[in-house]
Amino acid sequence: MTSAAAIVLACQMALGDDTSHDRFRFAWDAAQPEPGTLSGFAKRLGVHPSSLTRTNFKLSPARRRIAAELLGVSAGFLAAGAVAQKDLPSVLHAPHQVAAAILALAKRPGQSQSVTWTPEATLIGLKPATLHAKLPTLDRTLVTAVHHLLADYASQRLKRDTSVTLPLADWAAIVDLLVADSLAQAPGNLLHRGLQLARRLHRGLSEGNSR
Amino acid sequence: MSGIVLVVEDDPLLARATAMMLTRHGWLPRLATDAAEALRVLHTSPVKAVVCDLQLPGDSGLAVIRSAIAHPTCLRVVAVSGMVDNHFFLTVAQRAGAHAALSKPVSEVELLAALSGLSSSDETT
Repeated sequence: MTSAAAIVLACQMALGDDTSHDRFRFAWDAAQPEPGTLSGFAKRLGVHPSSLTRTNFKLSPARRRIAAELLGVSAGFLAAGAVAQKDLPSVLHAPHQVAAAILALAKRPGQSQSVTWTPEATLIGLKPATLHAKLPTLDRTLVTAVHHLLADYASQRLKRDTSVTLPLADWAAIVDLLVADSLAQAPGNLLHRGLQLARRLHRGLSEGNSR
Repeated sequence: MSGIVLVVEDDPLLARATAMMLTRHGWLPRLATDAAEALRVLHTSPVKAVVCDLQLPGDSGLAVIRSAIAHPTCLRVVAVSGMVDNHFFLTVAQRAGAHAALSKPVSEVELLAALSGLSSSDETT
């Protein structure tokens, strides 16, 4: 059975949200190396213990190779950039494959029951039955677990601020369309979602233009 | 211009002050404190103009504005607002059909100009 930690890291990796420190910690927890403290491990590598903390994680290629050997993973798994498939520990193969398959599905239009405009919303809207029908060869329990986690990440992403560069006239047209639609749907409701979105866009445009 | 002017304002002091100002200039003000009451007045009186606050209890002034511009005797619809994001909501009011849109506090000169349709720039924010 795939561990929760493997599912979490596989999802982060599939989304490109992982860091080399995440992978180091995963390998560390899995290997339980001797000596069993990070400071002891740092001493064996010949680095200061602070080099192994999340905010300051840094290993030279030579030390990365030693760390990988001590932890029983490929040196490429601890690299700073993207990790090649061949460098994944075997416990991550299945959850990474499932996460990649689900994300690929979410990027294709028409997968969700309702109309969505972002892969994140599609991901959240994917029904378990659809997932299992589209990914019949993958382990159902793993698919469900990975989907839950990816949907959770997706909902966090949907709440994040994002910047989109468009000509001001296009933004104004979008505000106008939202207002017109809102007036048609709910003429007396100043709290209508479309009108409130238009108000926020308008405020953003006004503040942007005053700078 | 003169005749019946419907003043839709939920602040009683402001409503009375506006009514007195309009009376002085020959208008016959009818007061309503919410959209439902305003729509009843619109359906029963030959209203010639409407001065409507946008933020009202219940339905907003936008509902009144849309009914007023479709009213056969109503010639001028003036939206007023003192909301945060006033510029946005007054533009929405104009999009909904208001002939003029004024930011609170509204001066006598501004209101009369908006009602007569003489204002060169209807929107004051």
